[in-house]
Amino acid sequence: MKNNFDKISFAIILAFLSSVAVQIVSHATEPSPSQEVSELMAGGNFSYALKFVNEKIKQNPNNAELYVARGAVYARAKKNALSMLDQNKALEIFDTYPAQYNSVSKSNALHNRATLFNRMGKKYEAERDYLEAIKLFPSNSISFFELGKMQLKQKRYSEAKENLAKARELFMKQSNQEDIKEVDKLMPLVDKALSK
Amino acid sequence: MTEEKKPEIESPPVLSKLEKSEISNDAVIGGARKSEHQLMFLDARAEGNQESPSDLSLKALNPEDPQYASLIANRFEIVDNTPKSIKNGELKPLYDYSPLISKDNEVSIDFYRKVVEAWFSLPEIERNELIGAGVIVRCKEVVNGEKGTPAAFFHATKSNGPEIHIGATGTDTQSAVSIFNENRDVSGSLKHEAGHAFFDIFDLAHDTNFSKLFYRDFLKLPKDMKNDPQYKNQSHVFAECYAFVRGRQSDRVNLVKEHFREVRKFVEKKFEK
Repeated sequence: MKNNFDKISFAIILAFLSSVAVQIVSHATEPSPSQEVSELMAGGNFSYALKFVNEKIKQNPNNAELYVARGAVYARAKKNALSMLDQNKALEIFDTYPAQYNSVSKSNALHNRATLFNRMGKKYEAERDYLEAIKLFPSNSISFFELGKMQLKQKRYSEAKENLAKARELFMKQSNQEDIKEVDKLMPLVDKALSK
Repeated sequence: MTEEKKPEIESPPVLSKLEKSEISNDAVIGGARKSEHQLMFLDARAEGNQESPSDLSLKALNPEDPQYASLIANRFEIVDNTPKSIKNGELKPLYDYSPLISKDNEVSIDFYRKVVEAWFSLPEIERNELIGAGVIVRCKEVVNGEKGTPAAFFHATKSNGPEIHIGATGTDTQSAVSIFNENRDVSGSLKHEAGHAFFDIFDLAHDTNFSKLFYRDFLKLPKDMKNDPQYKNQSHVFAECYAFVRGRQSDRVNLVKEHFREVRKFVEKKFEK
């Protein structure tokens, strides 16, 4: 009798452990929520992207990565004020919850906030955030690129050249052909200005 | 996750790149200095990976035979002049443990390990097929894949062989606003990109039989899927089915295998699941 009971208990434990293992396996291979957001936006589906990320934030209100992603959705929809709130929220979470800290993700939030400052004409704040984003994640090619573009508009040609060259180098490393072309369009303008 | 045109980017020879990056990671086995990467390959192969016929043919050659050096140089990235090493008291040839996987200096050893494990999770016959087709795998800190995915496949060009790039992070940088995506499924990424490589190896873009199967499935798709460019891409669908057959589990893969049944069967048959 005891033997049967042991067998049944063992079978129940085994079934439980298997179900947990299956759950772990199936969750572990899902893409990150921010990647889902990227894919939804790539399909032009901003409202789905927003709905998706809002649902995720409801489930996990202290996940900084989700605010960065939602902020990006807002920023691409030109809702700058809402985007700024989300990037600030993400940065606040990174500083408040050490377990949430991730230098790449924080660099991402700083980059997006810098772009928002740049759009608002707050160049000093934008530059500060771009530089901080680069410091946290030196492979942040897009921050070098946007900083270089901003400096070009400010006629700070030497600095622009340096940052655009660095961006190009990183884009090459990251096989980002599209943005290499963008840098190549700007470089002759910088060189022309510098030769005057 | 994506299939892209090969960029015309000059890259240094893989071997010299690795030699440079491994200087600080050396360890010693059996008197010969071995990098951490090579140790990993030793471990992976010790866990039951069998030798392929080409491994055996390589072994049959005298190490001093010029053909021996050229075979190794063509097949493997990490070349060691020491022909043998001691592992668990047993003599093992080193060249068994070095598939064509390179690592950028910024990439962490943990991430590289995941890619190596993913590589060895593929059946040996398929790994050899990929090696034979000249496919190399590059581990990168950042990959600018389509839609922000952290992986990409580059077709062979006149100057370069086919390449699979697996990144620790994917970047989506439209409109100056970025989203950095952490690669949470390294194994799945590699399997998907390997699927793109097999699509090229089998030249399925010109296979009318495969096309017929694909369109038989495609015509039955719900409207929203039909409008999604990724499901119009035969190589992408094949790659998703291959990844599924090789164990990738995700909602997206499940969606493809449910809706592309003919393609899935084709892949299963091709790889004899």
